[in-house]
Amino acid sequence: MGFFERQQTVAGPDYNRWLFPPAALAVHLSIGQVYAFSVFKLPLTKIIGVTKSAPGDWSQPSLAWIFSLAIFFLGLSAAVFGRWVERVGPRKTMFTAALCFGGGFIISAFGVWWHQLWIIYLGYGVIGGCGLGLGYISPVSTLVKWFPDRPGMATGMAIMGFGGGAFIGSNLSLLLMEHFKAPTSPGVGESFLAMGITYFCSMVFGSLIARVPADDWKPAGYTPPAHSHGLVTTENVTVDCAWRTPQFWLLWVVLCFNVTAGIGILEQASPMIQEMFPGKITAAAAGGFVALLSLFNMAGRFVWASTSDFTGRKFIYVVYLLLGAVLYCLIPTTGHMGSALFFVAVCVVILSMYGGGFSTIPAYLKDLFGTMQVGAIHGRLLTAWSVAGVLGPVLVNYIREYLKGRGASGVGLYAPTMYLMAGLLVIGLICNLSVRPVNERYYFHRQNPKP
Amino acid sequence: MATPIQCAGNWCKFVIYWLIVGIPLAWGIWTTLMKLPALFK
Repeated sequence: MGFFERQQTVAGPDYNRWLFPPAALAVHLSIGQVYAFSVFKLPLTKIIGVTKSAPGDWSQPSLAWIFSLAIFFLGLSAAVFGRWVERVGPRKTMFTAALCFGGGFIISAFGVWWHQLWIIYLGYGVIGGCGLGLGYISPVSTLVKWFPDRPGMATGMAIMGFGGGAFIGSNLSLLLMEHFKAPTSPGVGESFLAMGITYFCSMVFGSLIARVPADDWKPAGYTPPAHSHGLVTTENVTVDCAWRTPQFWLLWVVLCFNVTAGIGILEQASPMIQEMFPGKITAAAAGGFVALLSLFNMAGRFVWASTSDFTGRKFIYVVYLLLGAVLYCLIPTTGHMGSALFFVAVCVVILSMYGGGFSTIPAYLKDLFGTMQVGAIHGRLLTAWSVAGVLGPVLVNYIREYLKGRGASGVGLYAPTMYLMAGLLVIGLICNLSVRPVNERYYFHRQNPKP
Repeated sequence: MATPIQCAGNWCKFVIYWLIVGIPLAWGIWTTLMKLPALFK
């Protein structure tokens, strides 16, 4: 039996379950770097010219494909390999994710040195993207099994790491590029190599300390519910059955629209605050605003998901979607009032709920479909993220350009988009309110659903 | 029932594992917090 086999990772009776979250965090803090990839965008346009772009240097639109490919392959690999992840367990999955993500960086380093963009597409975009998807879902079902009493808090902790990884990634990238910078090179290739090795080691550390609970294990003092109550089931649904249920697609829409709305603000945060409050907000202040949004995005992942353990998942999504819709409608008002502080306060709450939407969804899936294949089901649901990743920025950017062409300025550039986002959240709210317990014909012991 | 040595080992692991992930996270948050004063100037 190999070291990476699931059976080798079954914890003994004296294992402390709080030793598993660091394994999940080691992986999520690493792959969260993807949110900070934009730090490399400008230096990558100066590989030949070093101080400024020269003929033959890569253009920004061609470089934007690296991030898009990575996010696309995140969703694709999470959806395709979910069942494999459930079968082989967290250690082998985390190790594979480390090989893909670390390896993707190292391959990309060669792409920079040989100035071949397709190698970076392949390295960071395709292979690294698969590492992102595998790494993202690798700890989810194990966390839910270690913390059946607090599944929201447990998954919130790991997914918070994904938000925190952006802070580490952006600061580490800047430090490394500063260190490796030379008169003939901006130091991107060397930074990719160093980051590939660092993230590989960090993720392998996570894989080595990962343990799964024995089948009959439960926390001391915890009595599992004997019967299903409300939306929380004691049964299990396989991934292939789950995505044939209306509940899966209702949650798909909820996640997609919640992410679309949040990502629209996140992506345009800096120009938005400067254009809505002209003369009041400098570029440096806008940078501080983006940092504040990232902090609330990260904190929201833990706080809201933990709160959902007490309030129930359906209720907390009602809060995200209803309060979110109201706050989106308030954004134009903050602009008309000229109150930047009010605008910042509204945006940080919205971004905290954007993070909360991400981190609460695994626990919601666990409630509805049981723990057996929750990681795989979560993987399939992440395709909603891939769609939202395109939809959010496209909506904000194109509507803004259209309005600008018609002579709009300031608040007018964003107000219709904000009302549109509020509308999307209301649709999400209706979907969430429509979620009912899964029909028992989908349960595992009655594997084949009736038509 | 875990022996005292096993208990001590578990606690050592607990502290080391959380420090390994906690220190980089704290550094990342701290450096980000340092950007905030610009917003409130």
